[in-house]
Amino acid sequence: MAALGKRKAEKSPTPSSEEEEEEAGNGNEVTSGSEELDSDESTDPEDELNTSSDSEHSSQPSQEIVDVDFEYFDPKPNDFHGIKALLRTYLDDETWDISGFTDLILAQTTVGTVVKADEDESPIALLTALNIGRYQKCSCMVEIHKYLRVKSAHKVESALLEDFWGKYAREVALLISERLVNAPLELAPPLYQGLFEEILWATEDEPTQELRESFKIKHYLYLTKVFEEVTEEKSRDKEQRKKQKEESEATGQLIYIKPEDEILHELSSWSFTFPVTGDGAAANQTKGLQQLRLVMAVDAKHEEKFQAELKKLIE
Amino acid sequence: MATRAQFENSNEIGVFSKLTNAYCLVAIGGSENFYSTFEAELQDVIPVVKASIAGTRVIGRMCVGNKNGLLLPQATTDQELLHIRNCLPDKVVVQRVDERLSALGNCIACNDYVSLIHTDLDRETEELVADVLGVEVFRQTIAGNILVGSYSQFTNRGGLVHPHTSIEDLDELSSLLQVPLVAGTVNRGSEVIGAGLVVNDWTAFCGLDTTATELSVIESVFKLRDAQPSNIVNEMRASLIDTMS
Repeated sequence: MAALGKRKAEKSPTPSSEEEEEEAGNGNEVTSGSEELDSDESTDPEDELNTSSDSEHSSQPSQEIVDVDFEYFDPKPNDFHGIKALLRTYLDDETWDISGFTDLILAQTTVGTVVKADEDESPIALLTALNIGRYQKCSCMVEIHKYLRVKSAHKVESALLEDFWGKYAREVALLISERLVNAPLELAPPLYQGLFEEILWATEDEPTQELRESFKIKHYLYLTKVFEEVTEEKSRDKEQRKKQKEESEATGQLIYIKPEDEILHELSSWSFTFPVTGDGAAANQTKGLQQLRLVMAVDAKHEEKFQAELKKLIE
Repeated sequence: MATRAQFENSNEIGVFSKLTNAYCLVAIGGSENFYSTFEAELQDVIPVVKASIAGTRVIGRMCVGNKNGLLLPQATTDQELLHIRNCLPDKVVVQRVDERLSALGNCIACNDYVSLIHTDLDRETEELVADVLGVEVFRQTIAGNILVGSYSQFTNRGGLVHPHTSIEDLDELSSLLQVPLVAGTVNRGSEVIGAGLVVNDWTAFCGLDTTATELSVIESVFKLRDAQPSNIVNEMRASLIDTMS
């Protein structure tokens, strides 16, 4: 497999703490971006600390800047528990074979990336794509199919979804992107760039023709979490409530937990949402936000446009 | 016999249940599967009781007990205490303990004769443990960890401890507890034995992720299938050890 070349890092807009160093890995893809303005960066935090401690009238406590390095790795067997933890709410509170699903992700060493603060730590983010046709018979994929079929039961998109698992299965990949809630946005562009590159290399480097074909992906199927704003007037009398419910569903403003989801949603061929039934749902509802799951299909030819839009979003 | 089980997608059986030779406590879960797994194995032998402690489902870590008694944290409500007392056999003494370290299941590990406790546990609690549970009490650490209840699980016939326990510690603990001990893991490499496994003298339950090797070790050390611990050395040697040099 071709080694990753050195990539010039984009300087992050805020004088912040994340540095991504980059090296070409030897089989172990450690990708990170080199920070050119290292010396400048180190004086900035000191300045910030000095100014905040100088002004005694400031009510804010002096904030410490913490430097964190994020590194990108292939998924390894040791990451089993960390990845499983990230996937725990993938199908809401459904009981399904998460372990088997995690094993599939770990077994696919050619495509898939995990972000960690350090090699021995737990994963912070995961991005991978599993070809539906290739893994269709695995029990976990069958359970995912059943779950999505049930949730899309009375929707227009139900037939389109069935096609993805039926006649188009070999051309569709399930895109799995999970990360910790407060993971920085800057992690996303290298993650996605890595994914698309790995898929491209896999179409050339995989040992068998069948495997090479399985990475010629035309569509991505993506299941993600979003929030929907729920209008406050819902709590008024019943008739008004019914009316409001219909209205608020139509005008429900979606809030994306991962910012790149918004770009993907705009580029998607079709999508649908459904409410969440787990314990988390009730807690979020009180804040005027309802948790939903969003399923969307994105055509693979929008890859470059997506990456360009994502880059713009960061800057 | 060791059985694999799962509580609502979680493999941490020991968090949601407590198993002794006289009774079994089970958390109130979303599906009945968890409860029926225990019922299937333990029916007619010992009562399987659904309970909550302080309104939580993490009952396995909040309480500690054996065939003589059960200790509950101070936060247990009166109704919960009454419910448990009613459902358990009469000879089991149920007692609430006022202790700063309220997760008793993490701080205390015991069988019917001897117990290990957290080094910082109060004197009064130590005496209660000795009285109510009818055991000899030892303040110990396991592989440098003070949460003895989390990192070990032992019965009257054997015990499993944190994988990084040294040979000297193993020998010392083994002579204190008077049972054979093995350092091992549960749930595919998890070190938190107390959370992943519940066991009594004739049966054990562990998470679905537990590998076949881990299950073999468990059945062997706790003598759950008429096997001697020497089997670990003789029959299983090939699968456990790669090289001898």
